[in-house]
Parts: sequence; C-alpha cells; structure tokens
Amino acid sequence: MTNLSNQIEALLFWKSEPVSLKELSKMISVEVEKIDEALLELEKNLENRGIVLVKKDESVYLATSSESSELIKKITKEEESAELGKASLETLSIVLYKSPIRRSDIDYIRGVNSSFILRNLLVRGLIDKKTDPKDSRTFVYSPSFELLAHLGITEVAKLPDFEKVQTEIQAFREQKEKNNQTQ
Amino acid sequence: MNATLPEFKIKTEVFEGPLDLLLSLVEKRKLFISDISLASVTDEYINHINQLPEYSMNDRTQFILIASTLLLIKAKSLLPNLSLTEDEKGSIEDLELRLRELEVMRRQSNEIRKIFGDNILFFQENSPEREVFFNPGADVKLNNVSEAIARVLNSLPKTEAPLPKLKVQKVVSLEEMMDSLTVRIKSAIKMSFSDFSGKGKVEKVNVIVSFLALLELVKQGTVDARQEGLFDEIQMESYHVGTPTYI
Repeated sequence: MTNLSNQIEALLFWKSEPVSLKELSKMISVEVEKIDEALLELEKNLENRGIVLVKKDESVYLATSSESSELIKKITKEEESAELGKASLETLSIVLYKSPIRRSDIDYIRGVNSSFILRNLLVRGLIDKKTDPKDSRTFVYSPSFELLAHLGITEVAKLPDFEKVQTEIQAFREQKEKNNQTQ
Repeated sequence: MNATLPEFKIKTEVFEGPLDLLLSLVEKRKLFISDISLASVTDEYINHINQLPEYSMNDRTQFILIASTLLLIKAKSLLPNLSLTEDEKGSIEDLELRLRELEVMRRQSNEIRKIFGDNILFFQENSPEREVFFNPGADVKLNNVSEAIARVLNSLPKTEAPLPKLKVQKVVSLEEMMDSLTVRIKSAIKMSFSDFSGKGKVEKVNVIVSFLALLELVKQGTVDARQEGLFDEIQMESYHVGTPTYI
C-alpha cells in the first residue's frame, strides 16, 4: 500500500484537471479528512520541486511551479493578453479577496453596477460563477483556477497582504457594529 | 446628440460612479477617509455632479444619493450641535465603510496588477480528452446479441389484426337506426334511451349511432327527448301519439 499523498499525486497527474476532495475520497475510498491531511503532506513534498499544488474551494489541481514559469512561458510564448482596465482590475481584486461574493456585495463596495465587468471577467475565464449555496436565486463569484495560476499563487490565502486585508475589512465592519450599538 | 458625444466621453471615462469620484477626491488631497475629509470635498463633489451629462438619469440618482449624505456630513461639521437621526448616522457610517473597503480593494488591485501574469503556474497542456478505448463487456457474444434482438422483437407492440377489418365492417347506418327508432317510439310512446340502444348489450358503436339517430329525430321534430340531469337516463317520447299497439 503506497502512501496516500503519493496516490493523490498520481491521480492528479493522471487526471490533469481540477479534482474535488470529494472525488478524491471516493476514488481512493478514504474519508475526506484523511485526504485533507494527505494534501498538506503532498504540498510539503512538492516544495522545491517543479510542480505545485493549486487549491481552490474544495478542489485541487497540479501546475508547474512559479520558478519554472519563465521557461514554460518561453516555450509556449504565452500571449500578452489585452490589459484589464482599472475598473475591471478593481472588481477582480474584490472577487479575489472576498470570494465567494455576490454581485450585490461587489456593487455595494464599488458603488456602481458591476454586471458588465463581471460578464467580461467570466468570458475571459478569470472568474467562475456558481449558484449561491445560501440562496439559489443568486450567484456567487470566485476566482478561477487559471486566475490563481496566472497570478503565480497556489491559493487565495497567498494573495499579497491577504491576512492584512481581511483583518482590515473586519475591523471596519466591527467599528461600524460598535457604533451602531453605542447609539 | 452627435455634437455632445465627445464631451460626455471625457466625463464618464474619468469616474466609475459616485464612490470612485468621492474616493478620488479624498485621495487627491492625500486625506484619510473621515467625516472631516468628506466634508471638505463635498463642494467639489457637488460641482462634479453639476457637470454630469443630463442623459444618464440612473447615474445621476446614484451620485445625488451620495451627495445627500455628504451634505449631512458637511452640515454636521459646520454645526456640531446638529442632531442626526439614526438613519442619517447609519448612512454616514455606511458611506465611510464602503469608501474604506473600496480604498483597500483599490490598493490591492495595484498589487494584483504587479503580479498579473508574472509568474504563471501552468497546468498540464492538452489535458487528454477521454480517449475512446475498446472495452467490450464479457457478455458481448453473438448468441447473446441474437437473443437480445429476439427479446426486442418480442416486446414490440403487436399490430392488432382486426382493426383495419372493423373499418369496412358494415355498421348500422344512421338512416336505419332512425327508422327503427321512430317505429319503436311510435309504438311504445315512451321509451328510455338505454332500452332503445341496448346499451351494455351491443357494441359501443351501435350506441353511438343510436344517439346520433336520436339527435337527428329530435332535430326533425319526430321525437321529444328529456334528460333530467347530467348522465341521467334520456326519456324519448313521440310527438305523434298514435294508437298504442297492444299486442
């Protein structure tokens, strides 16, 4: 019996597509918790290797490491895609740092209707849209695997200042709550 | 319209909505987001709204909504004793919260721009499409196949042979039925439709012809038909009450 993280590595290599933890647990017949642990181990094993494990929501996907980026870019001659305007980049950042997020929440922060920009980001494959698990009448947006890979990060938590941004926003909200209570 | 086109282009391209404008005004003065900074940019903000093109009603309302909150902030800063309602306080805090979040996101979007496409992680190229590979089950054998097709044939619905025959079979004609009906009613004066048609005893098609005959006779005025209620028995009576025939 080979070690679980090796089995997962083999499966991910063979599938070469995003695989959910649930699927992994079904394919290997091991509980999801064990898969979770094994993935952490796999991630560690892949340090200083040419491959990284990209994680998003409840799925994982193998990709080349950021160190090999230059090499592969040279081979594939990755086309420079058109610049994303300032507004698109801003919306994209909101999706990255606050995903999964509803359009109404994006609109609230930006103060303008974002549906056109979101559609554009969807078409460019930068974000994914799925039904809001809390309210099936609306959708939530999150970054696509390809976007994370494009930014050279393996999970949203590795975004620049991710923790800082979360605490900052949390602090604003708490401050507002506090004000509301003291009134 | 064409004459105003270049003009509105310049103005709408500059600011994406009221929060963008407001944040830009605050940042231009290198201020932090606060009541004080917001009060200080109020005039400038309102100036901008006045320059907004007339055509965009929805945009205008968005801008004006924020302007009303700004005016509140400014009024409060000029008259510290001015007391605000809960709603007013709420909308001021709400505006500040949104601006702060937008500010953070704007700052982060510059960070994102810096790393965008710099160190791409590549996924395996040409993820293999699931290739077709020959995988016959153990039971794909000639005799199994022929048994299977036999089962399929067996289960096909059988064509009912008598059906086309029925079409050419002579059914009692309407005229015959009318004659018979007239004769029988005249002799019995009164009879029920069930008795006449032999309902339950004869084929349905005969009952139908009987009913059509009845309708025709009623139309001709030869018989009178009554039915007291829905699906009740139909009582038929002759208009020409002749001598009852006692046999």
